[in-house]
Amino acid sequence: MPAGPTFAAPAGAGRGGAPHRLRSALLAVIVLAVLAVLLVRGITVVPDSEVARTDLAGNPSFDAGRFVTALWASRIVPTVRDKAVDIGTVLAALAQDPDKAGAQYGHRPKSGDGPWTFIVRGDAEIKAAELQSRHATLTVAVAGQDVALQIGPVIFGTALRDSLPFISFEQVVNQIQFAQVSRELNDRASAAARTGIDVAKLVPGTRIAFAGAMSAASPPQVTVVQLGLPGAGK
Amino acid sequence: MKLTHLAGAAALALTAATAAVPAHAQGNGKLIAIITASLNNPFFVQVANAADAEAKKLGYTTLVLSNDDDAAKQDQEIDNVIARKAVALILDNAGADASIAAVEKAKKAGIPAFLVDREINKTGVAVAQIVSNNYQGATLGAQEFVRALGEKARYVELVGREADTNAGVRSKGYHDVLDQYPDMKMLDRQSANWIQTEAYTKMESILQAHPDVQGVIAGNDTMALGASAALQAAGKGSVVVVGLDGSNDARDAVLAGKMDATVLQPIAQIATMAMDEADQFLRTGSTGKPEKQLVDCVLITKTNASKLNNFTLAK
Repeated sequence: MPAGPTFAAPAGAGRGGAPHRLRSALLAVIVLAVLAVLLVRGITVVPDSEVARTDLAGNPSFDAGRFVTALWASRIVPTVRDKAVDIGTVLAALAQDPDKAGAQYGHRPKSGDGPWTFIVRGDAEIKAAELQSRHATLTVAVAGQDVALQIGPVIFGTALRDSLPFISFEQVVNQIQFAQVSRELNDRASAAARTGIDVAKLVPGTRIAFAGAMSAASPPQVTVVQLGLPGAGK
Repeated sequence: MKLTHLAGAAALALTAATAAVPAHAQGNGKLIAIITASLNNPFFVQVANAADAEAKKLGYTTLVLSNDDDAAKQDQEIDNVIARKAVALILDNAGADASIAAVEKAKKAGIPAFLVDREINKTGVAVAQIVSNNYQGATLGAQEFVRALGEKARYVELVGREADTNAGVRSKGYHDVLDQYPDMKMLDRQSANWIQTEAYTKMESILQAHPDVQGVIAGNDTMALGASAALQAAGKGSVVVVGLDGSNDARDAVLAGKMDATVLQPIAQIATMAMDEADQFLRTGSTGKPEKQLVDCVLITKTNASKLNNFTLAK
């Protein structure tokens, strides 16, 4: 944002004395407010696609980190918190009719033919914990099925990216950038899931609460964004 | 290397182009051009065959050509397609940058292009770009590779032809997974240009330098098969080999235990989708889909390999 010229005008107008100084101060405040609005709008709404499309000519210098940062706290975390559907409900509906379940509880990007994706939450007892693998998982039983909760650091799949209706392939130039967005989301999900969690307490028999994203692919596998132990207040 | 049957299939694909057309279907015998990459790879034969079959079903005539991964040849073919007054073009292109001008030329001549398998580095020129999600497919292959090797191994990567976008996309997909495992050590990384014989000789020389290699991850099936043959010849059949494409040869190698896994690109489905969208576009002026469409790949291991045939996985 070229700040110099914008501030030059009120500075010039302020040469005439106290009322003018007051007016110019007011002007500066207004200009700052406009700038702030532009900046916020710029980060959250407009440039997601613009930033991604700037380098059509050849070498994409897409910043997936920035793309995700603009959305993580403001939209992604609230979406997972507020829109998550009980995982048992989703699995039962999927067993009945995947397309009906998808239309009712899930999301499927228009640009592909991939499986339906769902934002889910649950509360279950840990049946098995695989914490030695870099692809660490907690297995829980939901509606008679084993569900793998991925807590990273390596997360498989693109369920989180694909479950968010405000992120689409059309916003980026190519599949590498789209994949970078997924990787960035998965890294943040893993970090968020593990924040404040004592991994040593994740043993079979412990009850945990979780929220995250999963696809309709079988067996069910959840990219965990929020993980809570009893009394941890998370 | 047994390439004779591939040449046969290629000849078949080209012959099919001149077959008769049912006049009653909505295509009314109009001409659709299908240009694919080199037909010495069964993958591209399948692109041509699937698109051709769907076109016939819809009542179009077809002109099936191969650009042999040569942008200059492709350019001449586009001129030919324009001269023949084709109503649409299905294209598996010869280079993400080099093909932009060719597609623009077709567009200017009023021929809508439907790209399959490979993207070009520009949007708004083709009506549709339908590609396998190569990156997603590569991550599936790499996840299986890491699992089979117990997250700890010395491995080699064989990369495709560097000028092809997919070579880089797949390699990035592999490393997106592999580099998250500190105990996965890459001993060497070489290009074998997608070619089986080249992969064989590259693998032979790699084995001289690194007899302790435990895994080979290749950017496509033909290179994986070449590497596997070299490993078998050297008595190193226990080395884990993973490829990508889902060819019948790779399927057989997986079932025989010579390869651990491959990843299916559902290319028959993609070619069929492209033809259906071309038909809808010609009839209604819109495909009803965004330009860029990604189709997910599927991991093929011993458990599901027997269901795979001609790049299609049976339900």
